[in-house]
Amino acid sequence: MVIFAVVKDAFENDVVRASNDDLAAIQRAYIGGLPRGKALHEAKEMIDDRLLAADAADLFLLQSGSHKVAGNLPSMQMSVGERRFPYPVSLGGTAMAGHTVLGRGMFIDAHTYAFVGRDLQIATDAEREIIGAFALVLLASLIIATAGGMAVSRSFLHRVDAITATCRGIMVGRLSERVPVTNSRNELDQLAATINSMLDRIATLMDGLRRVSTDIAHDLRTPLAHLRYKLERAREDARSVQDYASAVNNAIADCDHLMEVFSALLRIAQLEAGVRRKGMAALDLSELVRKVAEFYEPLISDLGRPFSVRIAPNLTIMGDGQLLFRLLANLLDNAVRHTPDGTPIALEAEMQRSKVLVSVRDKGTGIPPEDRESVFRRFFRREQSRTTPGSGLGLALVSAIAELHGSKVTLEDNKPGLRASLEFERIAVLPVVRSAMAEAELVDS
Amino acid sequence: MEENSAIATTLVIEDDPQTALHVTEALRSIGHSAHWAATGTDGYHQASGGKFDLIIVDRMLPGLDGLTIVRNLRRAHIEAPVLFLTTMDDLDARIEGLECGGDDYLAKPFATSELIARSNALIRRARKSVALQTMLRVGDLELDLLARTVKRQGTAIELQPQEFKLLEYLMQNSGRAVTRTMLLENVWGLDFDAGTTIVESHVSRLRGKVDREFAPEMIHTVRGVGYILRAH
Repeated sequence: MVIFAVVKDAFENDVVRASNDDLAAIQRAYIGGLPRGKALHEAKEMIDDRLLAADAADLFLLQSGSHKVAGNLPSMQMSVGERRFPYPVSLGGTAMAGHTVLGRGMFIDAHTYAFVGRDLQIATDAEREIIGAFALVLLASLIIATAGGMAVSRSFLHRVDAITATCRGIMVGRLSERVPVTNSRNELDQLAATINSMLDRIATLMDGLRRVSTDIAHDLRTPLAHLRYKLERAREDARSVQDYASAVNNAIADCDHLMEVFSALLRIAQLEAGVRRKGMAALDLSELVRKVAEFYEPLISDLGRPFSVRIAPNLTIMGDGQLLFRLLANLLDNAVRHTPDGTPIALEAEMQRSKVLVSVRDKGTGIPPEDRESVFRRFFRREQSRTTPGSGLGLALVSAIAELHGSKVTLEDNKPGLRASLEFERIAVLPVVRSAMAEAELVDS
Repeated sequence: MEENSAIATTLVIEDDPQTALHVTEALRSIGHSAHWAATGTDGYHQASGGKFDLIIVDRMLPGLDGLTIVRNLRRAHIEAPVLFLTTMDDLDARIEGLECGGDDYLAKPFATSELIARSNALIRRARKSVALQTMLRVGDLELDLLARTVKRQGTAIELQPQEFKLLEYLMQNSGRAVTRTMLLENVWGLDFDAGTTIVESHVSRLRGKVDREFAPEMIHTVRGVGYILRAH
């Protein structure tokens, strides 16, 4: 609408300016003819010329007194200045009805009046054309927008339906379903990919849970059956208070063992599901191994075993301190439990082939190659170790911790004995730590 | 030596009646006055009265859960020591419990002796923490926390850092039995049971230095429970 007003205004200004120019030209012709007494004639000639060449929109009038001399307008009241009036019916007939004339009138001498004007219909036509053009553009964009919107929303709804269908499938138990991903890389694809990785994660957790429930069902049943049998036998056979007391103590010990197995199973499942990512941080493995060594040293030397510890400094890795302590404690514990007293044990941490290598070695009987894989299985116990205490879950736990750290326990022949080792990626010391160390050095010096 | 913990008042927030009975009976057996709240909401209202020396709270409760209760209590500046009792023996659950203001964590099922030992340690720590001690004394045994020195009957005893920490913990809890798992947690910072023999080895080393050349013996083994350090 603003454009409109501007266009109309500019057009009318133009009309007035052109009228002024024409009037000035008529006046110049009139004055030029004066000396020869042909002033009125010159002005008439000029107007006639203009009318011959002009387009129909130009309107002229030259009148002397009330007598029309030239022009295409009927004589009218001689008023000066800008004038706006309806197109004379006598001139244009009904076809021109409703048209408006805009122009200017002036006296070019005391008795001679001239008027120049234009039919404003051109402007009105332009107005109408502009409106038409606008309407067309508007309509076109509306159609395009609607069609595009429908197309987009249809594909959007289609995709959302696919996601909904997948989710419903999962709700009714079809856990392996995944949201289809197109390769257009838009937001919906990102969403679909995220949902899929979430589902994968849930599936892993569910697998872990399922395995734990199976393990619990299978592996806690046996010790529970033993416990029950022992209690029954105590009821039948116990003759004295002491008999009962020892039966009760045995039962409590069995319960504790059961709890231990139960906790270990849960822990392994949690580790395998990768729950404990929180504890991961840059960690000085040299310091950790030193602590493990200090923790085990009294026990190992109490058993009359030589204990050799070799630790390279500044072995920084990403890891969970508590879990790695537990891993090393388990390996040392195995070395202590499965070799005769007096057998040497070694704990080492060093750089080897640009990896951090931690190993526990003993000079015992070792594990034959065919058993080196299966010892990591839950509840696997080799014939020789059936008599030593243990849950049969230690190495399964060790292997779960190693896996969480992106590592793997390697069992090798220590000639003689067993060498259990793990490799870790060494990481650069964190910048913060380094700058703190640098500061400390500055202070020291 | 039995001092004022005999009149300790304990609140047990536990929804399982059998566990609640087990806990309150254990506490009464050592002379505590034990109150029982069966729901989280009830427990929170009782606890916010602020008259308790120890609050034992289950993690999973009807109404308010244990973590929320403790968080709210701490926000209300109720500083009574809190022992979480729970079946959620999860690797991170423990850290979560301690982070929200709990002081100790005990997984069900537990031995009565473990519950008693931990309750005693918590109450004692809360009462002592008012005055920060730099010198521990039990009988003729002295431990200087600043100079890191130990003397018995005026004779200096050389201890390794681990042995020093172990003795410090035993002395802080003198007259009360501490369990193996308490030692593992507080002296070595370990959250798993590393087996009986390893703690025994450490304690016997310490005995060798603290008790062998002196009389009477101060560090004793409490069968089925753990260890105790006392003056006589």
